[in-house]
Amino acid sequence: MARIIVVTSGKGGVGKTTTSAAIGTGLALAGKKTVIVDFDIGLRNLDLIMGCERRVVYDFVNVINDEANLNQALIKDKRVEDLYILPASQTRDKDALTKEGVEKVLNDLAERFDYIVCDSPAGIEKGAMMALYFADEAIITSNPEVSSVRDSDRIIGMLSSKSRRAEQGLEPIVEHLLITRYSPKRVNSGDMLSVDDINDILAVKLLGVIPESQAVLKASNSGEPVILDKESDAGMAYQDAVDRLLGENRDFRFIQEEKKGLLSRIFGG
Amino acid sequence: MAENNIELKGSNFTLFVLSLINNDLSSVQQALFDKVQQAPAFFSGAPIVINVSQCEQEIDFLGLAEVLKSQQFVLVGITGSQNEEIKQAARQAGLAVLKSGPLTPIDVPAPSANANPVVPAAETTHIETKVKTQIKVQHQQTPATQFHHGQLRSGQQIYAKDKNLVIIGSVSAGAEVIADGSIHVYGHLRGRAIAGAKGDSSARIFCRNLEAELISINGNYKLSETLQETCWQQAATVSLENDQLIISRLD
Repeated sequence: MARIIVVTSGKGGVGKTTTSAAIGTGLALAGKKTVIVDFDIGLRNLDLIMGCERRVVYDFVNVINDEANLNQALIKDKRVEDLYILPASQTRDKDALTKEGVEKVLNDLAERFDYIVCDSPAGIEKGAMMALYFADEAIITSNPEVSSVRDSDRIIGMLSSKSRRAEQGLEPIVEHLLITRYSPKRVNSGDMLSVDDINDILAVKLLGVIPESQAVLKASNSGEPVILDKESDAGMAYQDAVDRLLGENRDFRFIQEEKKGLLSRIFGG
Repeated sequence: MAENNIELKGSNFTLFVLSLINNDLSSVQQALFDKVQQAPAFFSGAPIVINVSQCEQEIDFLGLAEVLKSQQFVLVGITGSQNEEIKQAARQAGLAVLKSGPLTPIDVPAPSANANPVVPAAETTHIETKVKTQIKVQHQQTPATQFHHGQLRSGQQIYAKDKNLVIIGSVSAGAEVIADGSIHVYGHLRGRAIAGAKGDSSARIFCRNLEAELISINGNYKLSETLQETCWQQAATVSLENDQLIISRLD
């Protein structure tokens, strides 16, 4: 049975699509048949991040409305085996998504894939609700700043009250916290919330900490999921997160400024 | 022969006991009505016993039975009477005369006052107000409490109507907990807590870590701005004294 993972945040611009692309690609690299579904109807971005924008013919809404079948709409990634993208429609809005339609498409996808990664739009309105409704797991993406953390808190509340699992009294959605754009240096200077601060407020199991990195912007603009940039810190951090998602134990990297800084902080030197 | 047809045994029952101060049935009716309104289903059809130990006047038992019936009570008998005339009147009205149980404190009235039917005006009003407060259900009721396990997230709201509220977890910033009684938060209180929402000044707020956006008891509130002066980020309790919110440390 396929696992449905929603990548969500509440707040916009924190890195949901970057994360969806990286995690989805990472799962496929690990040999899992994976599809990434763009739920941001009207503000399609995933195709750009994945570098397949020129190959979009049919989209998610076409499939819901039976104007195309899944095979016509799914775009196969050229770099990674077993990775597919289901793009959003750019000409429609979120009302094009219906619970029944989304359920039908997800059920069809579940027959062919191990993982379905749902890239949620920002906000707490219909699009975001549709993206999280059928989820088995959620990756809550948050930046280390107060408004992003509060919005994440709000969306975690939604996961436990507005999802199918909550409504039907099933086992709750497995929640993972992914902190993006983390800068240990700015944490140390007191400008940024630390991992501990965020954990204290959200109390969700930490999946990964992605450092603020030039590699992310470069990857986005070139249409390469950042996880494929194996030399970059962000790429390595995403790889760790994927490994943890698959049950591996990985130490957290990139959360200390440098080894010396850590020791001097602990021993007050 | 006939003895085999029936079985006669003793047993104990829980009954409501209504203490009467005077024989003014209309004030009794009003006071009972107010009481029943608080929990109509709870009192419906309940057997009731009248304690007349504090009432020295003649009582119209048939009229009283009607008053009680109109509030869905079933009058079973009287208790606490030292006066043979009253006992006799009760028996004639078809009521049982019960011996006082341990719940009833027996205040033997001064014999000289017994015979005097004329009560001074000032005392009458005193007695009438007393009737309303004297009607107490002598029945153990568990105080109602609503529990919430887990963190209350931003945007979520819980209202414990007519209850105390216990949160086993933290209340996030942007979340709201409201109770007609007291509020206990076994975690961080970062959101809003509104206790005594229906006007209970004795309600309190307790939390393991006070970082609230707003706390309020019976409409008296403080914002986080002023809260930071006392017990901020500490275990604290908030109570209302003379319309002033008092915040004190728990540890």
